[in-house]
Amino acid sequence: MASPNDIKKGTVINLNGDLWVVTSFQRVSPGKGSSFVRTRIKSLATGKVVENNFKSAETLTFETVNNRKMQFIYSDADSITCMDGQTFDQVMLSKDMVGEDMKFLKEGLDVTVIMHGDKAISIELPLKIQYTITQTEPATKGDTASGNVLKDATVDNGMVIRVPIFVKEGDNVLVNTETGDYVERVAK
Amino acid sequence: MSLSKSDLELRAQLWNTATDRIREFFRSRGYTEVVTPIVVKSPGMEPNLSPLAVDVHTDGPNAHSTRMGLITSPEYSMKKLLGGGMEKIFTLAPVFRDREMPGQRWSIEFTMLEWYRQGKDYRDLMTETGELINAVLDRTDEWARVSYVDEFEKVFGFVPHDEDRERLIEACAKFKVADPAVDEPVHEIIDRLFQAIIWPTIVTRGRFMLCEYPVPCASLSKVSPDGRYAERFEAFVGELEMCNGFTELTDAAEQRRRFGLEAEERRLAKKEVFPIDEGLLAALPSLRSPTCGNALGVDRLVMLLAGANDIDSIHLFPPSTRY
Repeated sequence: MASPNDIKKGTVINLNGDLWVVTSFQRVSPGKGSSFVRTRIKSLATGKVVENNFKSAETLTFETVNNRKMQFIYSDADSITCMDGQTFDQVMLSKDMVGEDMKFLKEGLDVTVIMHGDKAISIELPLKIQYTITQTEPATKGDTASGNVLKDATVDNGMVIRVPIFVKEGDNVLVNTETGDYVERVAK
Repeated sequence: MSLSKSDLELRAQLWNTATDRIREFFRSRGYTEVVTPIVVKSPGMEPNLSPLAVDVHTDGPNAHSTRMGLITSPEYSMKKLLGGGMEKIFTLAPVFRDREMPGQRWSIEFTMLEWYRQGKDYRDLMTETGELINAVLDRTDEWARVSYVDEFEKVFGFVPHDEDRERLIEACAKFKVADPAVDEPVHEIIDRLFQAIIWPTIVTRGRFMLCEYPVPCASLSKVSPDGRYAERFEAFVGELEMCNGFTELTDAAEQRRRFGLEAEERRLAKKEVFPIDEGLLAALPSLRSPTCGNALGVDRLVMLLAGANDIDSIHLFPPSTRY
């Protein structure tokens, strides 16, 4: 028995005998009222996607999944391919299952591939990933005073993020993969 | 410290900007800033909150220990000041809620802005809340108002009250919302239906005030004169809940009854039951009717100011690394 608070992306939930993989989730703890977890889940049997809320006090049954440390190698039209650096085993999974996380991927990135039996069903990214800024406008004097503390920047895999105005081209920054937020600038 | 000097200064500056603008907003409107206690004997009764309990030991000839708690909100102290005759007050206070899930939008410790005004109701307060958030973010957004009970009635055909348990359970079956447990309180069943069926249709509105809650979800708010709804609202920016505002309940007998129900719910959930704040109940009859009050999460306001989706991104000491 598990708690909805333990839900992560890639968790497989057994609901009345049907297996559903969590594709995204959001914990909600209202100022007044009881906490719950809002999820999008996908049926492993039919591929149907539904939204479901679980109150934190409920109990759920999770299926056992295996986590494999792998590297992202490339993506094609519909799927991505990851490789085990020790055994050179490759697995494919559909871009659907990767979902919003597609934008964070870059060649050689260490990821955790979540396997149900011998089928790859999801990936888990590191919480923070380092990128290099490839393009951003320089800061203008007076920006901070007028409340402009952020600007757009393009990073080495082509993703556009919001960064503080002091960040320059060539800087290395950490990005939070749960929220897409800039976290901090890191020393080179 | 692992954050760079530039990152530290930016985060500090965001908080400075937000709190400066908050203070400027209220002072220009004739509010007085007050300081209220953080460690109290009655830190809160709400069934879903877990106050952090502390044992306090005083020294000297009357040395003794007292079981106390860190406030989950400065509300009780603020209402005592209203009972003492203060008309327009605000405070910025650290508050504590144990058993939260730190990260993204939550922290065990955060900063609450509360303000109260005698002689005004929740409608006036909704206007003022929109103006405050706009002032802090330096924006001019329109705030839509969405009535909870109207939306509920449109979908389910009735406005829910305490005696509607059976109809609510039927609605859960009809709309394929999970079966409520046998001892599930009525307000929880209403919340299930709302979150599953109504929420997805209103969250797309951007910035809005969700107002006029069902009576079983009244919390510390006054019930409307026709008994249809509780005079309560929450402001949302997308999915982000910003505040809870009420026309305040000033009826001490009704407040005592609700505290009793909440204490019972806490006992059933095996949570610590702190004593009822008798000083608060004694102060309530002196409040003018209407009186309105709002509690707003300042960390979330700073997140909006920073364009951040994660509470860690705005703190010098990120909450997810503290516990």
